[in-house]
Amino acid sequence: MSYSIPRSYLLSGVILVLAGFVYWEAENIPSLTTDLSVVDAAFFPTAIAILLAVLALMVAWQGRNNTSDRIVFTLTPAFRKAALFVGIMIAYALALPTVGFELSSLTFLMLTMWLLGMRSKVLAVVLSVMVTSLIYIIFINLMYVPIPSLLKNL
Amino acid sequence: MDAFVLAQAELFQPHVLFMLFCGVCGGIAVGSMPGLTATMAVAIMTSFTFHMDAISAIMTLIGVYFGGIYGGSISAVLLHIPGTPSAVMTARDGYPMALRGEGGRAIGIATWSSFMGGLIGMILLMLFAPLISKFALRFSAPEYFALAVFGLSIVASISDKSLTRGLIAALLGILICLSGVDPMTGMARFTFGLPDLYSGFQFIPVMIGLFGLSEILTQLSSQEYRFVAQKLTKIIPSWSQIKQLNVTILRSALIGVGIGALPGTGGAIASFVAYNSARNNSNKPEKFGQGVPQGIAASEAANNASCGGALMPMLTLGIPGDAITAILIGALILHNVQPGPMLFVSNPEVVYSIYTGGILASLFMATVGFLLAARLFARLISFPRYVLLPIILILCIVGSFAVNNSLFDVYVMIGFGVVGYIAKNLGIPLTPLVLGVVLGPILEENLRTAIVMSQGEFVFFLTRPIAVFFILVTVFSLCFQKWKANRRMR
Repeated sequence: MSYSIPRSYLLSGVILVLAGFVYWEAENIPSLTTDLSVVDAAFFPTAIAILLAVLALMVAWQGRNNTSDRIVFTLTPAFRKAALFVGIMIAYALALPTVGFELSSLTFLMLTMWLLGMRSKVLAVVLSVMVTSLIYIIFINLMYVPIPSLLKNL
Repeated sequence: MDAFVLAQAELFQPHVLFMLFCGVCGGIAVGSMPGLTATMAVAIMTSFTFHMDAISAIMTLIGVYFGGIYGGSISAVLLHIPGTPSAVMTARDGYPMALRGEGGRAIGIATWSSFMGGLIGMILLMLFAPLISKFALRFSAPEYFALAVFGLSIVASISDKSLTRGLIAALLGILICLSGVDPMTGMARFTFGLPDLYSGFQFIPVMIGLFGLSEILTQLSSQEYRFVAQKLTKIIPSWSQIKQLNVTILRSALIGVGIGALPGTGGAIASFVAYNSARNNSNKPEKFGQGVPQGIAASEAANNASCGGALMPMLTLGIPGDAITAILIGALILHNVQPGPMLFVSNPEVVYSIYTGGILASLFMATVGFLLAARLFARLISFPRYVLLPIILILCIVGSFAVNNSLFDVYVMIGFGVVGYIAKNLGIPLTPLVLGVVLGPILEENLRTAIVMSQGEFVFFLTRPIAVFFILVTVFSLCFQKWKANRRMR
């Protein structure tokens, strides 16, 4: 099942909603000055929200004669794969503090390699170990980046 | 003259040259990794230079500085992930070339332009440092605001097909910078109750997400994947190619030095302005963004020349031109060298060794770039997709974490990857968005400061000649582009 909408109308709608949200948020920023509102923290966000709204309307106006350029919403296998990768990345980031860099990276690399079509288990393991070791040496040993690490805590 | 000879005698000792060379190699390696910036490399290397003599220490750091700025171009060309903020514009034309299998040639052009830019920057530093520094000191809030407005006029050049969408992108970029504690009033804005957002979004994770992750998501969600074998011939530009690029490189290097000398600006703005200038002066501006050598040359010459520019206020006034020179000032002080006007009297040999060291660093950078980096890195992206994409993804994650040692930045990177993916599908160009992120803080802070300075009188800007100059250049640039576009239509 799929649903489509003209690209310019969708863009216009998204930007209008965003502009409204920014304007509303800016309204809630307390004012510190009475005579020079330009100096207040809300001035710039408000101005940008108004400009975004104007531009969003312009996009809709410009796109009124080109409704054939449409965005199709459909869950293709490729789109699902992209969404799955985003999910795996979030899971990796969540696992880092508890499982540590070494285990989570090995799992992440092997899983993503398998999902992208690598079928040799030995090669996947060898490559994952090599890449994890290299990143460990560069980032943790040489650049002193404090990535949560099991080896460092031993 | 004695100080000059003394400086050369100290500099041309084998161990000093070796440290400079190692610094350049280390800088290139770090700069080419997404998330690891030249600033970070110089900061970390400073701790390794404690036990060294002053000249060896300074040469190591100068090597890392020059190598790091150049290194950013490698991942920009091959992976569409700018290793450093100043390589954003390099990605715009470098990546399309890599997609055509010309990654090696693109890195070759970046190497040559970086070398020439670095060289011109150092020569101008030697000749005009005091003069340009004095001029840079005349920049105050109204001038910086006018410069930022001029920078934003570049949106017209890099908006791909629609200026309206380009402007939306630039405004969204500015919006991203508004998050965090307002520097003028101390009020929290768009933090949504998250303490991690009090310091705002970090630039590097935003950039990695918008450029790197969104590109991977686009590749994953497209039905077919095209494997591109990289040609590893003609990496060193031919004489005819060099002649074609000469004018672009020279003009961009001059822009790079000028902007680099302004404290608080840096290579990213220099490369944006130089790219715009190269496009405006091209006979085929519509080809920019599709993989033209001039686009890479402009960006790389400008950002490497900005190193020389940033050293000007550092050496002559003791004021840092950018974040890296701020760290360099600290490193110099650690070695009992006080940057500023007295440096030329108290330690002239240090000044002369920095001059020669910068030129040598550019030479080493070109040698390593041509002989090793271009071939090695271009081969790396010829790996199969099932090997390459997981490695890039993990580098995106670890690189984002490394910026601030924070997992929050990893989530920011993933979030902006999705935002970049959606933006591409909605037809919003990403380069103006990054331009907005770079210029947003300069624009807002300086406009508000200028208004305070003038007690609310907007006419105040007209009393500042440099600000008026930039506003006029902005108007002229926009009119010129419109006129050129109309002429092409006819």
